[in-house]
Amino acid sequence: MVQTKFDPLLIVLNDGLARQAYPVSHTWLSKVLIKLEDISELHILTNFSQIPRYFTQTSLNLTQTDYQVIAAINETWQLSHWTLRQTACTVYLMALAVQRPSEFKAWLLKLLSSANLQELTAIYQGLALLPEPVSFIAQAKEGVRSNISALFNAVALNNPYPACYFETDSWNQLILKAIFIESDLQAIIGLEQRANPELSRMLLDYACERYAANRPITKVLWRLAGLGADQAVAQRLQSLAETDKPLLQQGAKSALAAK
Amino acid sequence: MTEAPMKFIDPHLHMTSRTTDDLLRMRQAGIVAIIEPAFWLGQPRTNVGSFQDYFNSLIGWERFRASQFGIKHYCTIGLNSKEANNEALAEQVMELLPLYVCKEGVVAIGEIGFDEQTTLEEKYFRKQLELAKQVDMPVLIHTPHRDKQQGTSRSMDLCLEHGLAPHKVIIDHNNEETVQEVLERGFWAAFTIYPKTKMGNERMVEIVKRYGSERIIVDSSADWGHSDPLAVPKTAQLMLEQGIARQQIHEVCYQNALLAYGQSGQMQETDWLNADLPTMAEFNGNSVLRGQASLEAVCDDKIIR
Repeated sequence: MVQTKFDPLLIVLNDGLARQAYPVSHTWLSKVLIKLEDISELHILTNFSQIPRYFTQTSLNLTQTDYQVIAAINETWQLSHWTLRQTACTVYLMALAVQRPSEFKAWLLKLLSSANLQELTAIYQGLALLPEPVSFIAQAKEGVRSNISALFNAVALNNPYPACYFETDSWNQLILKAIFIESDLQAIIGLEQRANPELSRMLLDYACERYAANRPITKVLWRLAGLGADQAVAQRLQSLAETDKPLLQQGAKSALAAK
Repeated sequence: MTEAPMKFIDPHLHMTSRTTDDLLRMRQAGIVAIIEPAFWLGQPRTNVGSFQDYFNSLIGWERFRASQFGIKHYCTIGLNSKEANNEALAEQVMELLPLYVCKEGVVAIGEIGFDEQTTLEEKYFRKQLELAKQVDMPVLIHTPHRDKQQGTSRSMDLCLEHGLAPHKVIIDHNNEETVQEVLERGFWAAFTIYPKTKMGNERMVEIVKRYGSERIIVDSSADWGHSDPLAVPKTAQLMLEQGIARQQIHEVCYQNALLAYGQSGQMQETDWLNADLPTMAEFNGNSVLRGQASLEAVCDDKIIR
């Protein structure tokens, strides 16, 4: 078997399942993982869709030591909100990637092409933990385009993937969409670190559009617009701060304070 | 004492052909859960990708759309009888099915069966019965419009031949001529209340009066044709007016569908009773509409002929 830097993480997640899942469920998964090296494509795919039959939506409880192991591999990984089902899906995919490396990408694409909401969510949440995550960037962006908020959130929230792999244009679209559909911006990893002038301009345009339509403007938008502001955006904020429109004035001032 | 509003399950409904107005009215009329069987889309598909995208919408987009209206959505997966006649395509669809049949919220293999009762229809009917046996799933059988009695009998013969237990098989689109044999042989007997071509609901009342409520299921099969997504609540109301016991109405318009499809292990009452689904109040900015008042508010004429 190939050794990878992910092995310690796989052990942490698998141990978590062993502690918390029904014994019969963990036994099922262990048997499935042992057989991974020589089973047919059909079984590779149907094993994955059977995971919800064995693992519930109970929260995964990790120990302090577990979190240290995870942080040592990558400190942006936040698995504190994962369920047993999510964990089992990711353990399965991680093991598959290690044991059948040459076929893995094709299989993941097949799984995605026939996946339901729960499966898509699980795949998106675990993408960053798979080998060569960048090779799945088109799939992650497809998730961001979804009109189903749960799918968008699976990529955008509590997920290190976009901050690590999205180029600026895609990142900016993700942030704008998160604001537009009222997702929890605070749950976006790298939100402040990836502030940039183009995003600030877009946010400012959006704030003016909302104002014109008499719609409320979230406070986070102003803070984020300020964080990434370049000189041009700062000038626009400055002139808004001096208008006689109290809402815009107040927002622009808070943006300038964040700069 | 006022009685609690009745809840309904419509276990055969093609939401992909319906609008959000329908979903809203269905929820207002008390429908809490629906099953969307994979079927013929009104015109033949020309490649397997169209099937895959359709199956994806059944397990994904349509489930999401219904949930926005507080309705729990399930589906059945299968190759319908009409398209079984395109052998090259049917072979490719058969390869897709195993990817879908074990997924969460898939409650049966279906709707499968006969249309013209051709050799190819029988071939893929049998193959899917074998698949159902392999993965231990219930089966939903579409009975044909033409030569219905014989088609229904043959469908049940095939099921038994392949070793399926009658209590795992739902025979749909029954009428006065087929119901007795279906019940006597131990299968579930579903009735589709669909104007002109299938059952009317006055006839349905008579069926329940004569045969009782055991193993009888009412559905709408509402689709792209002139059909009625409120057929189940309308029929329930008519039964109530015509003196059928509330408990029997509960069985044919809710409980029996849950028992039959619940055998998949993929459908429990707690799915909608405990679900974090939006309430009606979130749709109309008003209080939750209840019972008959709501039904009258959303439909003009409850008789379907």
